[in-house]
Amino acid sequence: MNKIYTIIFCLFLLISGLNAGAEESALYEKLPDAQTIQEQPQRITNYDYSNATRIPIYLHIENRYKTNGDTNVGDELTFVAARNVYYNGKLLVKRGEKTSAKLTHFIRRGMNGIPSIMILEGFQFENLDSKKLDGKYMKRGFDNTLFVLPLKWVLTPLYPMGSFANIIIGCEARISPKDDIIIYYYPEWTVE
Amino acid sequence: MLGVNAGLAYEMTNEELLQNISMQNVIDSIAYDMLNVAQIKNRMIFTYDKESKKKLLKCNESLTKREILIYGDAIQKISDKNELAALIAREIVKADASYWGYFKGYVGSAQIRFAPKKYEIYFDCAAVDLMVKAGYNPVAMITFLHKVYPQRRTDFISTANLTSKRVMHVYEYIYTTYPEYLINNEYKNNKYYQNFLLTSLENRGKLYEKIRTKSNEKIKYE
Repeated sequence: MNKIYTIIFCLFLLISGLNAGAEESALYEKLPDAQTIQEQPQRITNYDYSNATRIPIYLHIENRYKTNGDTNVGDELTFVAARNVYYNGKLLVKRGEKTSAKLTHFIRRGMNGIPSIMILEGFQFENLDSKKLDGKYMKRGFDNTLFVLPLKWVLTPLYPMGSFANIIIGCEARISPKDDIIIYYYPEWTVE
Repeated sequence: MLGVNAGLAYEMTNEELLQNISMQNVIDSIAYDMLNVAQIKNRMIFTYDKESKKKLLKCNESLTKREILIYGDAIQKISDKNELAALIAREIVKADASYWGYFKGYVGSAQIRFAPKKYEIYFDCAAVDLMVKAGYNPVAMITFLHKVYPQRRTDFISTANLTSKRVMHVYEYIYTTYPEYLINNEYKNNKYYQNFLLTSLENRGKLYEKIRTKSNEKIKYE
């Protein structure tokens, strides 16, 4: 019986030793597989921004989105074209066409009324060259700083009341399906 | 104003003048290339100042006048073009953010001045995007931050994040968004990058654990 316990004990030591090795190896640079790499945006080498023609594209978000403590960079949001978009009589974007954008950056809200900020990028449409698309959309929450600063200045003589204004937190950024999101397309630009 | 500039130029030797002009040209060339490629529609200018930043409390010109001052002491720590691009890209992102918010960016700039800690990591990561768009290697952002910014004891009650935390966020951002730069890593034999790898063992362990467990929780880097 003792032999069995000894074997089990030895096996336990061996396995725990292997696990320790695995944890240690995790500390070295461990790179993702080549297969997981997504296609990267191509570098722009030639550009000509002479022409100022721009076409607005109206979008609505499919589902309401609001930032919160669990918001992660990389979230994909779906948008629907709110109007037909024509250029020179040609239909570029059909009403109802879906597109998605990725949450690339997110700044959390903070004290002094600082709102949270989300930045969406990567809008793509079937008939549009994405390099000519102003595909960056930023949404800020309501800026409570607008009343925090005057409040702080008014309360400052009543020390330490002014400091209490610091604890007012800003608002979360949100996009509702009713919000008109406008991104611009520059059809005559040369961007290669 | 013209007289002051002319006086300074007069005191310079020809070599110093040419050195300054060529550095200004290099900075302008990299910076305007980035602005055009990233299609940034807000205006800003770049000024090379050979002197170091003397007044610690001097207002940040990139937030007020959108004039990005590149100081000589920062340039001294730069080893290559990619690191210079990292320095410039970060300042471009900051100056671009000064246009946010009410009253033509006055409120947004004030917020960045109040709470720079909240925006620092965004500036670093957005600068990585800018570098990639303009064709520079974003791993240089890691070596640049690692060399230039000192390491405080804590950032608990502070207006700045720990540098180790910022560098790890940049590493995580490159790891998840532009991993090909780490796979074909030009900086693998760079001593500054290797020193970053050495000093970030614990933090990288946390990142790999997050990736292994496919967790969405935010990592608390130290």
